[in-house]
Amino acid sequence: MLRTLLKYLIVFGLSLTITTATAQTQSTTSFIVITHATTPVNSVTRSTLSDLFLKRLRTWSNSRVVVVPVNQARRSQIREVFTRTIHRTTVAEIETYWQQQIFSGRNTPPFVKNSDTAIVEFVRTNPGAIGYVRVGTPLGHDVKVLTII
Amino acid sequence: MICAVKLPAPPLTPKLACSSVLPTSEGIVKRAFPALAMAAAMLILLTHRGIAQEELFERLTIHGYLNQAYAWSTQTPILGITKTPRFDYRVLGLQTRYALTEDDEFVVQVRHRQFGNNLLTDLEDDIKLSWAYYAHRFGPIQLKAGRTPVSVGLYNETRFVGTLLPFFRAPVNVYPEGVETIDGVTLTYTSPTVNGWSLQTSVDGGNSAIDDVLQTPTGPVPTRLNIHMVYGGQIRLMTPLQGLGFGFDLHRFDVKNTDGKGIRNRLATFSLDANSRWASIRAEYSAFDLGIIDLDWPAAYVQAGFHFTPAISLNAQYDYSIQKPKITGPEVPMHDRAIGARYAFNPNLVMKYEWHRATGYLMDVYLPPNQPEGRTSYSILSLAVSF
Repeated sequence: MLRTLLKYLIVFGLSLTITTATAQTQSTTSFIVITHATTPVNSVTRSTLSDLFLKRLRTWSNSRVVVVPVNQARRSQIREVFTRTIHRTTVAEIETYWQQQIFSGRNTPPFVKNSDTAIVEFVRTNPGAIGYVRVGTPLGHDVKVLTII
Repeated sequence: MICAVKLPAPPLTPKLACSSVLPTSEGIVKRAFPALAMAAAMLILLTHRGIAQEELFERLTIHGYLNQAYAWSTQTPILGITKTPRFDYRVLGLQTRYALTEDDEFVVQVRHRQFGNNLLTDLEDDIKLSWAYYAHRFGPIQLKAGRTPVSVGLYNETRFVGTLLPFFRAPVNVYPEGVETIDGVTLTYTSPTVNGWSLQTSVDGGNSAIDDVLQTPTGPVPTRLNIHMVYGGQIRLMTPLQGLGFGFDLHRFDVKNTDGKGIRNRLATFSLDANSRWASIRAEYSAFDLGIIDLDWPAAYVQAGFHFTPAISLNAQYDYSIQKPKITGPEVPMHDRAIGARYAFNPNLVMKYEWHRATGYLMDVYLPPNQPEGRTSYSILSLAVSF
């Protein structure tokens, strides 16, 4: 009986350690914001970035180019870090926001791509596109990094 | 909303321009016309332009929701819920969007609903056209034309989307059968966030109809109220305090009486919405001035939620309405108190249990206003899915 209890305690302790380690890994995942090279801005504020990804801003400032945000996969670490840093809320809250938008007929969520490479490719081929990828992701041509001010 | 009136005796006011039956098949075809036209337009467009399959998948999006319940009442039947527990309590919506460009899209949403032995949902078509509209964006302004949803209060467009609600449906005394859509035009404007403030506004105009069932001394009577003109708007303001917002909307409904004369009716709603990680509070007050039957109909609710974890919350709700004849006659009150538990497996899959205590006269049997009010308790166990 005592042995079984001890076993459960060890398993519990291990899972707690793993969870903590995962949380630490998540918090250190960092991202860069990228856009198509022709986008007429080089920096954005956190609040503007949040509006761009929530589709509250439809066009780039001083132009008629439509903003096309592209998101990372729902369960990805980078999506979680981006949501916490830029929207200052959780991925679940943002999912609920999009459900509200969809079923009240107002808007639809951004496109979703499952990898950094796919995000970079989407941004490269769509003028007006904006996305975020892990630091160190190769960008190639026609893509530039936006500074968050 | 108008025809949900529990008429004080004498039961039916002759001024009320309700037809006594639900739409004929001719009427249904007429009302389904926008969807049929849209489907045809999409088909022509797809065939004509020869859109590649990959491109089609990017342009076409499909969303939906299911709100399925198991419900039972302890005494008087209410909202289609009987003493015999029932599974035939559900709402299902399916939405299809086709984006022509970044700024243009066609949207169609259909709905199926069955609320137990509720006569209205028995008489409705199994699949009913909810929305069918074309939308175009001019920067931050969106124009919708066709059968479009109407923004009234916090919940009008999403009143049955279970994954968005703390209970099975939006508070029934503030959101009875009402104007959910119009055949007309809607303009919405969403502002960017400035110093933490943001604004969402909408204006709309068109015509509509409300189907409902009146409880009369001789039994339930299905009715339709045709509104030849409805127009109004909504303002929702989000504050720099994250999750805190206020709303106000005002709509005018013109209904023709039996003499063909337009009678003015007005609905004003105030709302407060405050959400944090641990708790949420929502409250709304609506004032309905029903000129067509000389009735004032105030209604309100307060909802409070405590979120123990992101997945588990406990909710409580009190909502009421009072129908007050302007000239003479007894008042018809209705109160509903509810508590419930909600478990979200994820934002798209939610399970709920709720218990309600209802008192008043708006139940599934005729209760004369000069007699003691009806009392009943009912429970709803539900599963909500959306995608």
